[in-house]
Amino acid sequence: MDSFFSNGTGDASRTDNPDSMMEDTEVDASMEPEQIEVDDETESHEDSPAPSKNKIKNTTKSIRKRRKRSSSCDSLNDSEEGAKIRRPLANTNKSINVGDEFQARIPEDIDPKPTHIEDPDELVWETPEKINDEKLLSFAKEASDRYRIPIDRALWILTKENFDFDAAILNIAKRNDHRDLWTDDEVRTFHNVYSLIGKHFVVIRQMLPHRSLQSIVQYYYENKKRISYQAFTEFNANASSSSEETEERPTPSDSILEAVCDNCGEQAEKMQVNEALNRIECRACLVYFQLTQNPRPTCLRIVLDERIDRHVECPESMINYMDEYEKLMAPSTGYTYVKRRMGKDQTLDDILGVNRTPPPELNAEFLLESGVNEQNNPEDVGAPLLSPIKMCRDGCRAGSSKSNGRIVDYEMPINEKEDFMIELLKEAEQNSTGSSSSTQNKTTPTVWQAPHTLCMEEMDVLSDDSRRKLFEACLSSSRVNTKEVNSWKNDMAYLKDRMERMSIDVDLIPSILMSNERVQYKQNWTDHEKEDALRCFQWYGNSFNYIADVMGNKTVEQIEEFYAENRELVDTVSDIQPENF
Amino acid sequence: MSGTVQEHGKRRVAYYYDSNIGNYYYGQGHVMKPHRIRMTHHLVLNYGLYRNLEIFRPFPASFDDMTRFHTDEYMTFLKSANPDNLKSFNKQMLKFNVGEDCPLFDGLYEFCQLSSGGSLAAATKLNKQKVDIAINWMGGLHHAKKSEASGFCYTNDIVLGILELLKYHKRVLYVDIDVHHGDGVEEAFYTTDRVMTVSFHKYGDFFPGTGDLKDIGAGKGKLYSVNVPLRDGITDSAYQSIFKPVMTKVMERFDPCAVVLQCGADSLNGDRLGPFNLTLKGHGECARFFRSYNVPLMMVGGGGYTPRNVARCWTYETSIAVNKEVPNELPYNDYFEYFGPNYRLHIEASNAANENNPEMLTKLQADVIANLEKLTFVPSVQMRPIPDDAFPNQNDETAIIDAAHPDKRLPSEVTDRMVQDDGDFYDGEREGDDRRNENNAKRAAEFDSDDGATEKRPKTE
Repeated sequence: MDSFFSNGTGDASRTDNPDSMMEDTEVDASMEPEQIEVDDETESHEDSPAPSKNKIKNTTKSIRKRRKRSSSCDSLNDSEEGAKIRRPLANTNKSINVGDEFQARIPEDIDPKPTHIEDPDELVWETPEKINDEKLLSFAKEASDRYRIPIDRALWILTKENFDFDAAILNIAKRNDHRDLWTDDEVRTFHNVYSLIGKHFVVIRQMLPHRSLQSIVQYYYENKKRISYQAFTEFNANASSSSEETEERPTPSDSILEAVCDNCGEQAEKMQVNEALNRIECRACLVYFQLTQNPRPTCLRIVLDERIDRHVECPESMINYMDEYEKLMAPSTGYTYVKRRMGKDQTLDDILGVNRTPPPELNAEFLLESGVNEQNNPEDVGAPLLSPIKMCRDGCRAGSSKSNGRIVDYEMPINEKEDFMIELLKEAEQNSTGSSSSTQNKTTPTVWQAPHTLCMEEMDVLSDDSRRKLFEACLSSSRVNTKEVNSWKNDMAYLKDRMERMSIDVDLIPSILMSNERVQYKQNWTDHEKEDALRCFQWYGNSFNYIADVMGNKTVEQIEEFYAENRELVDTVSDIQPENF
Repeated sequence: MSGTVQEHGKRRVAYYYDSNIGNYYYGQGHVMKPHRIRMTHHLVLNYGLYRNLEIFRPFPASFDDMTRFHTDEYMTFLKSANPDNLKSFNKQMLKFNVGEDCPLFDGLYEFCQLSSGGSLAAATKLNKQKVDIAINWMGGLHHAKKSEASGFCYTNDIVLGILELLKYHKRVLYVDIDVHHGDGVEEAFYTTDRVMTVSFHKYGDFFPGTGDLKDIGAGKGKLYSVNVPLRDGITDSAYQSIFKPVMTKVMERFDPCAVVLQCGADSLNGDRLGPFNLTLKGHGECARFFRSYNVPLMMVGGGGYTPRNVARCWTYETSIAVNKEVPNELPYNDYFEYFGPNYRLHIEASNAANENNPEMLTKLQADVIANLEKLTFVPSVQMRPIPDDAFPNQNDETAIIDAAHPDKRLPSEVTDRMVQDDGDFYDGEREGDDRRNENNAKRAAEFDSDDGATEKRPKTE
């Protein structure tokens, strides 16, 4: 998402060349002059056919001619090496052949009238004679824009509903949740595998066994332009080759005797050798590595006892956030889509659909150890749900019995994650017992999908709207109106800010919530600020809190400091002026 | 003459699409991307063209459907081979040319079924005269041979479609504006005079290497394959300057009952494989040309290896088929990012050199037309009336009789029209078979049979 925003701030002058984005890795190779290769091929095949005029032999049907094999087949064996540099459609020596085995059999008799055979097709849409054209257009627009249903599907539903627009829209609204959604885990797995092996969707599918190949290809195409995949495929060649080269098994190191995992440093009973990284790892780390081709991040480690007994008292100040968290994590209802208004009269808040959250209070005590870990691991900031957060609300004491007050236990995602991991473990075991992975995947389709939450829904809408904004911006790039562009820039900046903040709010990363970074508190005082401060002192006297509030960009401490430094000046101002009122 | 008919009334247009088509993937780095068809579809829908289309989802073609052209052996191979059991098919892959340009990808057979199913359904719809134009962007795979894959094509949906059209149409014209020669279709109908194949393509050191001007068909089909070999960088105007005269001549001499137009978009400027310099306007003009004739028209896709331009082109040609103007600004759609940076429908021509100089084109046109002139009017099927305006005097019967040589018989078309009154008793032209005698003979026969009947009746009673 961030990368999208950073290059799409509504600026009219987009510099990135779409060609370079669109074309595949082998374009450069295929851009080489064609002639060289063709010459090579014709030289290597002495039996290459004569020029075209001799190729066509006007033999009669009865004479059968052996076909000349063209070069493409002969070079099939070395196609693996040649594939990378071969230009597509390099064979220019084909010929037209005559004979029964080449021509089509043509039916001799012509039926004067077509018999009533059934149509080999199914009608999806036919515009009826009497239909309100405008209504139809707005229906299609609503279906595709608001509910994000393909227009042809919407039209089909409309036909089924007997061209009753209202009924059809209702029906479409109901179908909203049947969309093909990708969970964060799936997306991450896809990206990881993609970065390693490239566009081998069959291999990627083996990592996402419950996804169909079609679904994977579709996902790729839909996101191709939003995520610059090229960026993270750069290192793939080196990475894969190096892992293959390290064939030699490492000698059992000391760690295997101590039974300590090289990756996470935990003791475990069964250690295995990670051949790619040439070290000993515990089962969990190894499975993680096999799936993602990355070492398992140690901070993600979910130690069992941590999970069982860590109840943290929810501070008063956090209850609001927990409520919001709960709300956002509720299963998606599609309400955001419904609520969404498309049109000119919308404001940004309409689009966003979420209310601004108040700035955090700074003095609240908040204990959440795992939060720190999360921050250290940039890869997993997006999915803090996996960390063992457990919170007691309403003054429930840490470690006390659960009957004492309401316990909000956000364990569910963890459990699911666990189940998922267990399934993966099972699968890995099955694979290691020798059965081929491809058949395995077919026989045991595991179905696991994280629930689609309100928050995801809102993110969805948000990102779609941003894309729309960008699209509008690009549309009118030709008649640039600097004012408009500026306002768009502001909008985009706001959206970006909003987006970042939303993901943080949802993430509930305490260290960021608590930090001062979100508002810039500048140390320096400009003249203007000094004037403002003095005026504030006039009005509010010595109530530093008020002044800090009004100033906005200064902390209470800074105001106090200012007061201490300029005491005389302030005192004269605040003493004299009030008397004038 | 059934020449150009100006836009009268609207044409019913059927459009064939299956939403799965975009999800087939030829393999990493392969230039053929079925995804372009989905992009086209989204553009067509978001332009609102669905209001003028009948949208159909074709049934996948069955094995039997496809073996109407392809050999059983080849189809069995396509059906059973997949990337997992590839090794056991090594020999057959060589034989059927599968593996290099035409990789064995997942879902290959279904892909063939969909593309062929679309063209078959389109042809059936035209046969039943339910629509005037049928569009199948999933099809157009013109390189596939009877038992060989070639040039990203596995099954030749065009041949299957034409075979279906031939059931009810005496003559079918196939026109190919792909940058590559339509060798698969030409080969399939190389020896028949019921299908004329016309291909405009880049020739010379270019795939597939066939399509020389001198290749004109064989046997009965001699002169029924027309090839117009072109060189790099041809522009809209140059293309039309040869396309229109040639096609007008073809329509005049061959007078097809149905036309199949292969709209391969790799002849556009900026294609990854094609060196031509056409824009949507020049390309679409070909579609407009056939729309202006009042013949059933089937439009299929084909090549095109810069997906965004393919989508643009075929969307534009869909709009031509329904005769709707579409704005240059592309509508918002799921894949709008692909159309950056200008998000416009039309593309600009590049300033690449046009290696087809006017003299060369003129000569080429003369050669092609000379071949067409050799065609006997409308083969192996009934003749259309000769154009009236060719010899206007012949219409005047009395003038012919006046000018006739007294010692020779009158032309039969005059005598046929003469009505001899029953009351006339003079010896005219027809002495041998006098109608009155004929009538008498007939009557006598009737009496005989009547008598026979009356004789029999009592017996049965």
